[in-house]
Formats: sequence, structure tokens, C-alpha cells
Amino acid sequence: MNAIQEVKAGNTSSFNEIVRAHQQGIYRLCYRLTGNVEDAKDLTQEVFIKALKGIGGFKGESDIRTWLYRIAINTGSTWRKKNLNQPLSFEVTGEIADRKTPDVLLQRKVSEAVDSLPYKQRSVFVMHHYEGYKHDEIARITDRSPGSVKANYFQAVQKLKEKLKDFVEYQDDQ
Amino acid sequence: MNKMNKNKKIPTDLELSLILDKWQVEMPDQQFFANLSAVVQQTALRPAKPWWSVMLSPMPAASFMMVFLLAFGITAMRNRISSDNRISQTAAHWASENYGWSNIDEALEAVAQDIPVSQNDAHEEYLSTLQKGIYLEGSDNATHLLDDLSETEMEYLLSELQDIRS
Repeated sequence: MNAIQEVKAGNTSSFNEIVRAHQQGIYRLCYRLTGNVEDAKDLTQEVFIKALKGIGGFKGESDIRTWLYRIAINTGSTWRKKNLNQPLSFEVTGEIADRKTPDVLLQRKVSEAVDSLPYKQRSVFVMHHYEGYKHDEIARITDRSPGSVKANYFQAVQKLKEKLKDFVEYQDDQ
Repeated sequence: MNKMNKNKKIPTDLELSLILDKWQVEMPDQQFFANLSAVVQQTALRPAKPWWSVMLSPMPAASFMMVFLLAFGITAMRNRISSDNRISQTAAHWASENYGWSNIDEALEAVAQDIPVSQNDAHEEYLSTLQKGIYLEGSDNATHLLDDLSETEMEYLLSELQDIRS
């Protein structure tokens, strides 16, 4: 019996195994969707709470990672709507901030550029570029057509190219 | 950094990819991951509060009042626009969380300030503004609803919305 079946059978402590296996991946996705550590932590926690509460409805048609990503994308969408009018809370802290290099500025610019994308484009872009999902996999996660996902990705790339064009030469110098 | 402004060219896919990869994920303290499974278990398995305690707490009470007022408002709006079902559906959608009155107000303001042209042109501009707002909100369904409206229906709906908001 695997961890999912054990949780469904009532042994909820087996869910710890699922959390440990996927917590870093889900956190990374949440960070890219929110742009800061505190919101990413809250979102990550919310994703696993929803997953544990809803695991009875998980039919095993997709793998658990895909299912968790779907919850993360949907939870991120709700978070985005709630925070639509709030200013960017991008932060550079800890080890990265300590380096005090121009990379910190570039990180901020990239984060701002990605943050400026509409949520659908942003989530598709993050999943494809940073998480390595293929378009048809993203289509399954987001329950949309592969064509729509490709269109979102293409639009996101065009916007990012325009927003980050100032940094091409800077990048060449690195 | 002055060099950055000398030659602005659209980056190639590779250049963009290199720039984007500079954005590193800031990881939380290790304690967060160490405690996460316990926090999740604790929160998810917490027994639900009895329904009456939820009803009596101040925030849900305010929320219930908001829902009641919203329902009353939408019902009133639906009554006012009951002559065409598609129109009322669109208006209700605009007033919903997905779109929001603030965006509608912004669009109305844009029309009032920037487009003192003929009425038909104003409709086109207004529709365009709304669609931009909906696009930013990422609501595909609303776009389809708008597409289905004729110019006359749109004109009627706009006047109704303006009356409601004035």
C-alpha cells in the first residue's frame, strides 16, 4: 500500500511522506507565483492542507505531483485575486542580499517583469520555464487546451522580452 | 549599469533565458520545512467548529451581511435588466468577484474623459477598455459574453450600468 492509499485508509500520518517529498517543489512554485518568502510559505502550507483535506477525491488518474501543482495553481489564483491591488512585495533577503552584487537588481527586475504578467500567463510561464513542465502537461494541470497554454506562454515571452530588453547587454557583460 | 541603456535590443530566446535564470528562489528557514508536515496535519485535522459558533463570530456575520447585500443588489440589478437574459448575465458577471466594480468604474471614467465622440465609437472604445480589463483579469468567459452582445444590447447595458453607478 503506498502513502496515498494509506492516507485514504485513514492513516493520515502517511501524508507526512507526501509533504516531505514535494514540499520544496511546491514552495519553489509558490515563490515564483508570489515573489516573496512569507506569501510563498503561507501558500505552500495552504496547498498541503487542501491536499490532505481533499485527498479522498484524488482518483490517481494523474500523479500526485501533478495534482499538488493543480492545487497550487488554483490556490495561487485565489491569492492573486485577493492581492491584486497590493503593491509588489518582492524581497531579497538572506544569503542573496548579502552578496550585494548587481544581480540583486536584475533579480528584482525579473521578478517585477514576471509579476506584471496576467496570472494565467505567469503560471504557465513559471511552470514551463522554471519547473520544466511541457505544454501538454501544463494543459492537464490547468485543465485547459494545449493551444491555449502555448498561446499564454508565447504572450508571456513576448512581454518579458520587451520588459527586460534593457538587460541584454548587462547580461553579455557577466 | 550605464551600459545597459546604450543599446536596447529585444533579447533572443537564449538571452532571455539567461536573464530569467538570474531570478533565484529565496528559500525559507529550514525550520519551515521541518515543521510543515506537523503544521499541515494539525490544521487540516482540527475539528470543525459548530455551525452556531461560526454564525456568531464577528467576521462571518459581516460576511453574511455582505453576501445578503450583494445578493439583494444583484437581484435588484437583475430586476432592472430583466428584459434580456444575456444582458443580465453579463452585468452580473461584471459585478462579480472576477471582474469587480472598480474596473467597471475605471472603464466608465475612461469613456467619459477620453471619448467625447459619436455614441457608436464610444461603445467600441468602451467595449475595448472592458475587454482589456477582462483580459488582465484573465476571465475568458466574460469575453465570450461580451462577444455575444449586439450593439443595441451593449448600448442598453451600458446605460443601465451607468444609471446604477451614478
